[in-house]
Amino acid sequence: MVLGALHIVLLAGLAVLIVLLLLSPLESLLWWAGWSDDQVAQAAPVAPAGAVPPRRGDERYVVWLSGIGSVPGPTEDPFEVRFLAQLRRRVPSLVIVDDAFAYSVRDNPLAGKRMLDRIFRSARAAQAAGRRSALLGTAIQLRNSLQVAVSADGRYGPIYNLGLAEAIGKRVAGHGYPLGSGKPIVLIGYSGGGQVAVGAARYLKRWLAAPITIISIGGVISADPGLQAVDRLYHLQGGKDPVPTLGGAVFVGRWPLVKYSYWHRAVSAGKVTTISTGPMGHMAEPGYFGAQHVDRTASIVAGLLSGDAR
Amino acid sequence: MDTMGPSLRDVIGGALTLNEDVLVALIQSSHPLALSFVTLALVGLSWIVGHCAVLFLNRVPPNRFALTACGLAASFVLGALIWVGSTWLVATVLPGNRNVPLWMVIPMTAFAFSPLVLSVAVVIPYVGSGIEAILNTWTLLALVLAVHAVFGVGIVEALLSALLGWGLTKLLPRLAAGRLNVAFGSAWSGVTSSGMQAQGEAAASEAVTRLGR
Repeated sequence: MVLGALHIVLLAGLAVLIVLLLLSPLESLLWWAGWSDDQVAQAAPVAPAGAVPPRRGDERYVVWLSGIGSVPGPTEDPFEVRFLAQLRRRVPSLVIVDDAFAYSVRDNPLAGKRMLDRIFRSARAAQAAGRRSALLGTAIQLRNSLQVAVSADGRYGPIYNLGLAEAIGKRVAGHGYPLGSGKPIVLIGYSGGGQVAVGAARYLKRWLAAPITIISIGGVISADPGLQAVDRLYHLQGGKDPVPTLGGAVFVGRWPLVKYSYWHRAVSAGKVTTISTGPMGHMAEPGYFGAQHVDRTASIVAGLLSGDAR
Repeated sequence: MDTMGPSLRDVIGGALTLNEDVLVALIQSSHPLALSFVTLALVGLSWIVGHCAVLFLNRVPPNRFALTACGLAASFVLGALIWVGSTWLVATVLPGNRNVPLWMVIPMTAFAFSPLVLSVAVVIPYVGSGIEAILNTWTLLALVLAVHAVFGVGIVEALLSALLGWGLTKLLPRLAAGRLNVAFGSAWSGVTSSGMQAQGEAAASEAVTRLGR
């Protein structure tokens, strides 16, 4: 009887997984085809007049792309919030754009009417209230990790990454980035955010004509063509974090045999620097932003922002 | 399999396990053409679901979506029939081969293309392109087996016939100077993962250029 119930749960889980796998590229495709409420941008965004605080001119623009557990809107994950606060304290001239959602091509899924949008809203409300739902959290992680696969896919990736570049461009302009100035932009991608940062870099670079640096914190990154557009990629990996290694195993272009992939070409060109952060795990307390490690992680990233990534 | 002949499940299972006896049973059954057409319809449906990205990339509007999808699926099945038909032609003209009636091209196509009922999985991000390559290889193997079983030739000769048949599908439209374009239209052979990749790249590139203006 117990085994029967377990089988049913496993089969139901498998069915949900298959449905999610088959439907995962649909959001980007509907958006591109114009079937979605959100439309593909027809022109570059203009910064909203008066909404942005006056800038001194020496600001450095950093876009924060959260891990796969994130929901749309400014990050409220307590670990990430702590890390970003540390980073702001160490580098006061930083303008951190933390409201670009890395796992959707749509500008603001929180305002939408779909079932997924309602799930995002309820997850966000739960997060704001300090509540955690294991089922909701797992579902969002699964959904977002499939979007990482969409970003890395040769067929859907260009569309997805274009949509994300558009969203990042809008958010960066909204935070006062002077479009057309060619000011450098740093994308910090945590976990799955590493892949989408590389994917979006390709279009951001062409659109903004600015140097792009990526700092991947425990990131999974495929051999994406976006690596051609990246000026520098710093890849931070903890000794107890298996996730980036798993990414290297899953993405074929990262395999040592595939010597001419975009990844290996970027490594050969000296663009990729791997930095060991010490005995850190991937997430929560043992992770990069846990109380024990957040100082070191923030110190490394601040050092990069003050040095090469300037 | 019962005495009436194989079921749809038997045909698909037989092709996936490369069991030529299932093809022989299909040809000898009481309803070879009906079952073959059902199999091909299922293959076409699964194939278009797996490759639906091409419709979205081309921004096909909702009111034309179903019709365009059906057209592409039919074009794919027609392409499959043309390939197996060309293979039949090559195998027929080769000296010493068994004389096989033309209608058998249909059950041969159904059997050979049955692995593509799994084409729906091609839609899965990242691994879909790999799945497509595996299914296409499986289809070629099933076609070689079908030629081997129906014409009674060796595996190497069957492979040669299938490859020459493929070559013939490429050569005939050129020899006919465009007059066969309707039948040999490029849609069915052009919709591949690598084709969609190039199309996606071009579309996104054009869009970002527009943003930069």
